[in-house]
Amino acid sequence: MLMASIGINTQGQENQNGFSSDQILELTDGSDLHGEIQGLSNTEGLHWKHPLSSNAVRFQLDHLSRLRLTPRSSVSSQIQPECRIEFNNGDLIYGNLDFLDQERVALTTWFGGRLETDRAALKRIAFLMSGYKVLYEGPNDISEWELGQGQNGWSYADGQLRIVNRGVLGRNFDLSDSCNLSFDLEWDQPYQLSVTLFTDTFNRFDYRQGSYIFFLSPQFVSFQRVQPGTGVLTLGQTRIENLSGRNQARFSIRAHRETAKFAVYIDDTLAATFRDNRGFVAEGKGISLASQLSASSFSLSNMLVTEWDGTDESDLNLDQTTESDVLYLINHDKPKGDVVEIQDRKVHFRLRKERDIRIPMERIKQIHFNSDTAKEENEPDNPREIRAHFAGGGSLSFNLVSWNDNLLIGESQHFGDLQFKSAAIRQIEFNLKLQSQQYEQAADTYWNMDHRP
Amino acid sequence: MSKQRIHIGTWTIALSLCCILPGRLQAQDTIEELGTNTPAPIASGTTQPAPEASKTPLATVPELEPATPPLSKDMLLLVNGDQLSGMLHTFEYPGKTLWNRTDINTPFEFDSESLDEIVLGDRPNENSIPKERLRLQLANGDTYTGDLVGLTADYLAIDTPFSGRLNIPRQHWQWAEFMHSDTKFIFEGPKGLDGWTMGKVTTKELDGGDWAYRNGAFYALKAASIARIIGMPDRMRMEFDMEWKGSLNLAVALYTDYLQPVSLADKDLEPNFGGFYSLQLTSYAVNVLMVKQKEPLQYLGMTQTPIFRQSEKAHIDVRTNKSDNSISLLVNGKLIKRWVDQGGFAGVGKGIRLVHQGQGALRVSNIKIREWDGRFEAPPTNHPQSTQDLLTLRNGDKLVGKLVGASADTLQYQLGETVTDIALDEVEKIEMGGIQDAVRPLRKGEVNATLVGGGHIQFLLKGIGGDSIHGSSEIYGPLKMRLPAFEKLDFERLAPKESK
Repeated sequence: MLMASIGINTQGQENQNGFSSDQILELTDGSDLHGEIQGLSNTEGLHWKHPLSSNAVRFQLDHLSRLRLTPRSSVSSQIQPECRIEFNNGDLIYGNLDFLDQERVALTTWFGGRLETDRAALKRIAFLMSGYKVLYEGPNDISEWELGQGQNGWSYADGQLRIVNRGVLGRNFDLSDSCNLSFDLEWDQPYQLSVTLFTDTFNRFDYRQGSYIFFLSPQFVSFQRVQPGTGVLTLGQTRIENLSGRNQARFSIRAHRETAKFAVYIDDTLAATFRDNRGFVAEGKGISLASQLSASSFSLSNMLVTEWDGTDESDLNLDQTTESDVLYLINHDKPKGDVVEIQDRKVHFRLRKERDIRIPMERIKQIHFNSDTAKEENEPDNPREIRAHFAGGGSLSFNLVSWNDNLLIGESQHFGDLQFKSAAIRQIEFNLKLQSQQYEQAADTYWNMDHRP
Repeated sequence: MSKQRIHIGTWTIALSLCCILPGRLQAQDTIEELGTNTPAPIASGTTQPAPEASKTPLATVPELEPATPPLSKDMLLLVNGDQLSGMLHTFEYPGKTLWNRTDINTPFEFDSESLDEIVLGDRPNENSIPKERLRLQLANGDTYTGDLVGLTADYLAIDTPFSGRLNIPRQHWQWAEFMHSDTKFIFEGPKGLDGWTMGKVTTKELDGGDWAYRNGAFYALKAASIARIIGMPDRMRMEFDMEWKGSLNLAVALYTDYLQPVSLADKDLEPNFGGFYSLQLTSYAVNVLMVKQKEPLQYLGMTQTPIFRQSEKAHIDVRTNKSDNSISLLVNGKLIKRWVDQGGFAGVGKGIRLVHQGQGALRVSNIKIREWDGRFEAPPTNHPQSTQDLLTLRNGDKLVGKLVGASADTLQYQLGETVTDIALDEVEKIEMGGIQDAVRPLRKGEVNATLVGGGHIQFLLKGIGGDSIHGSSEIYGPLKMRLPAFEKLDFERLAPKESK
């Protein structure tokens, strides 16, 4: 299976006001600017051309916060990642594990080829049973969505779907047996967002075909099954405690046909689980989104639709010990010991540091590596250090060398010299330590935001 | 340019005439002559001819030097929605706006037509500010304060903090409200964080932050509390302006003796505090709670109101009266609700506390607290079609007649056939007859400029450089204004283009 193409060709796309919105630069003081990168390097800084300015200017690196890059063309890969690899410094990569021994680990990624680093940098590896398949990454344009008829408050600008008042929109994602829809939600007013999964009707509620509907509000998540002939049945409702006083969160809504299991995560924490005891009844391939409050005003961005292997991450809370590595097996056993080596899809494991066993990778859900060997990470306080976010998920931090149209070149104390195709990059974060702190202080800047692009 | 002078003290008042003719004025004193279209110097030193009302005169803009750097950052909003903090270098229209930052090698050069708004940072304000005894409202929506210089049949002259002397054609101003030297504000501000106590928001549900001070206003982006012992009188009027983004949820504690925020759910666990009232302003409703320790919370009554959903800013006016146990809320001049505590007045302290509940962002400015005489003002009562003026005295009397002249201390007001001198100290408000609203959208190159401390003025902006803003107006003629007196410049908004 190939990793699906991700990214939509949006070259020449314009925002609401008709200006080119190819790339967006955010600064640590809260400023944000559309424009075009004309050059980026650790010696020259960022050369930026704003569409309304007659000249290009060069920014020093130490006030940059984030570059958001709109994909110019689709990207695709022959590699389907089988692992989700987390590092102690916060990096996360989807890729394939080539080998691991006491000292080193080697990975193959679709965006950067083979990467090799110290084993001590590893925090956790999750083995994805059905692989990591990206179905959609966006939003990229309003035209890729089917809009409800009549008055419809949805609009698109700068990578955000925004709704004011009521409206419905949806699209086909070729869903089949599972779905993990994740997105950032930002709201000005109390919201009521309904997400209909596995539907083929995108422009309205349709009770004549099977589907599942999640109703999201700042206080509750409720879940309904729609089944032709039997109507609508509420399968559960969960109170949400942690969104009070907030105006943004990341949601992940998951469904798994085989187990008829459903889950809602908010900011990577499990908020609600549901199960359809009658089995999975929906057959549609798409998702629709609807706002039901007339006073609503909210936006969705960084939307990602992938398949889901049904793993309930609540059972897999990180259990990092100082002495031992921990295996999470598919039979729910959690043996402790030392991972000696992983090669040829087998894990050589020294159980309780006494008995050597070899376990096929297919029988393992996750490995949590001991923190004793965790490498002391340098604080990312130099402006050269950046974090690149890749299409389809995952991020890696390293020192910037340079950027041109085709390649982002860097160097990493873990991975050595790095080169990535620029088409694979969705975001670059700068000044990782400073940006949140300075953003807090940017009261006047924040004040003038109608909405943050 | 000639500068004719008149002697106010010897103005000849013809009691039997219906108006004072400019020709009868004696040019012996030290203020500029009014009622002439000949150029007259203004306080800031540039020339200002009395304008023709029908067209905007051309302004000559000198070569611009870099604008005085702000103490806090300026903010630029562009027509495509982008925002950029930094320093305004120069503005020229038509032409370029140069915008600088400390982290770029050369200033941005934006076409001035691509600007949507400039929010100006604090700038040193060293010029002497004239007294502000008068709040003026013009037919085009301009409103600002100044000091009355004089009035003739044709012009009203006032000294303003932002542009020195302005001569305003009579047909353009609608009403003037007088502030009196014996009206003492117990508090006017904010002018900084000094004297205020930043509270600690410690509830587990709320992500706490602090209020920030900038350019005469408090800002809160997260749940935050700030309090001060003001010395609130038994009958009090507290006014302030607020703007918000997203949901509005502000609690104002009145007559509190405690400077930290109180968690209403756990009020009995808080350190000892005296009773106070919590005025709650939200996007959907207004409410007053009586809060005392060891006693149940008492809701004096919630009123749903759409007023805060229809806008993102409001002028709040709170009146309290211990003698009748009442708290009244006026929003944008309209009475929303009057609460009466049947159990007696519970507020024991003399302080206020502003608590932003954490949703959305909030800006509070122009807080003014003073004693209140217990009377509510009558709304403007002069009919726009009326040919007569309406004078309201401080004792509540209303006089229908004709304003025929004024000096710095006296109005000449014609009642029937008689012109009478009325001391300004006795006057509350003068509403001019026959001056209809003439608010119109901004034209190309025009701005609606917000003044520090409140008020705004509309003009064609020609240039900004050094300490000055150069512009012109069909009402005022060429203008040279002081940059530090302004807080925000709102440009003509371009209609969004259709999405492709």
